[in-house]
Amino acid sequence: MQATRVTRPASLLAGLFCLAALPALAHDVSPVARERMQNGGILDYIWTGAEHMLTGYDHLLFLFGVMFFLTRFMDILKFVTAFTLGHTITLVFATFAGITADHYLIDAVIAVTVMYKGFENLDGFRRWIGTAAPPLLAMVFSFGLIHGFGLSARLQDLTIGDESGLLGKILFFNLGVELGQIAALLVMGVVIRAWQQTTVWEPVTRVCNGLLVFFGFLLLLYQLHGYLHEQGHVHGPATTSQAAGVPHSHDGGPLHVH
Amino acid sequence: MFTRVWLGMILLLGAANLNAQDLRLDVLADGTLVFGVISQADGSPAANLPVSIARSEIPSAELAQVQTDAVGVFSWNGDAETAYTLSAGGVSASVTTGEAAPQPFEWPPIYITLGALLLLSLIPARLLRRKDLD
Repeated sequence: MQATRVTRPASLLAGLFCLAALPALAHDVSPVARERMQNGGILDYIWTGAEHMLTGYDHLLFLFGVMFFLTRFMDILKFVTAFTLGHTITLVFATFAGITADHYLIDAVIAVTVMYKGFENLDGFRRWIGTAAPPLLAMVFSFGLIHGFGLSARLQDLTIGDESGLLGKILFFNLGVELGQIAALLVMGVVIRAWQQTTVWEPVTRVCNGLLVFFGFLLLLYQLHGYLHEQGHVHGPATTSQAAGVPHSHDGGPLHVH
Repeated sequence: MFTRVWLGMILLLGAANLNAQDLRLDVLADGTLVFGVISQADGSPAANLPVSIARSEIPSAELAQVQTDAVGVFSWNGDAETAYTLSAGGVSASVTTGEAAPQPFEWPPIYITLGALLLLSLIPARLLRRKDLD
């Protein structure tokens, strides 16, 4: 009972902390990145791509989940290649063709992929659904396509669709994404490998993958909340100034106009 | 004729000098900000007057030129701990800037922090390493 009394407030505080940190989890397009993509050079495009990957916590959480049980270098290479192929295909083709969707909805689907990977790592399909998990390689490739569509939506926020040299910008941005991904994977690989060799690996897997599901769910809520705000469904009718197209935010959320 | 021309020139130079002496240039520095006020002898502001700024070591090389506003005030941002000579309307004054304001602490980007925390977790991972692997 004593333990329960101590743990509950701590859990509550941790939950509140996570909720308060949610806006930081969104990787919106910064004015600096926009300026770099519009007036910068090759290195600026590469840096923006790398920075986007490293600040894109949804992509990183998914990769963390993918890396979790991989031990052999060839397995890591196989799954990371599948993910890279997937996101490169949609990033290049969707951006070049100007295909996009509401970024809140795309990011909400990406949040679901994070939850999926945590659930799968917890052996959730066998334990709670009573079925085998779908083939992981195919799923990672499919999720790569979705993540690439999210990257494309952000890139299209940064660039103007019919500008010259768009293909070059996309390819250099993608190169930056890959470099950022390699940097993140190197750190994750070393750390996961070290923890796989500890006596506490079993509980660590349960905690980490449980947190993966939890943060995926928080991200999902955050993105759906943003989408509802964008559609004007949360705070009732817009005020005169909001209706006049003045950029504003609700409750510290992202800037938008109605 | 020749004498009258010379006399006229001497009077003109004297007037310019008198004009310069009529101005008062007060200059101060706060950190790297150089600011001052120029006023006439009667205390009225010297409005819209160009102020030339040069390093004191090379007073002939003008670094920048600013203009006084309607109340005779001007300001300019220089380098830290540097002596400047300011000239306007024939008067000049020198000032030495102070130390630059300390840069506010900026936390490194969040991905650097997360990466560092992940790498720090290698320490407990090493301590908890399975004995059969050693």
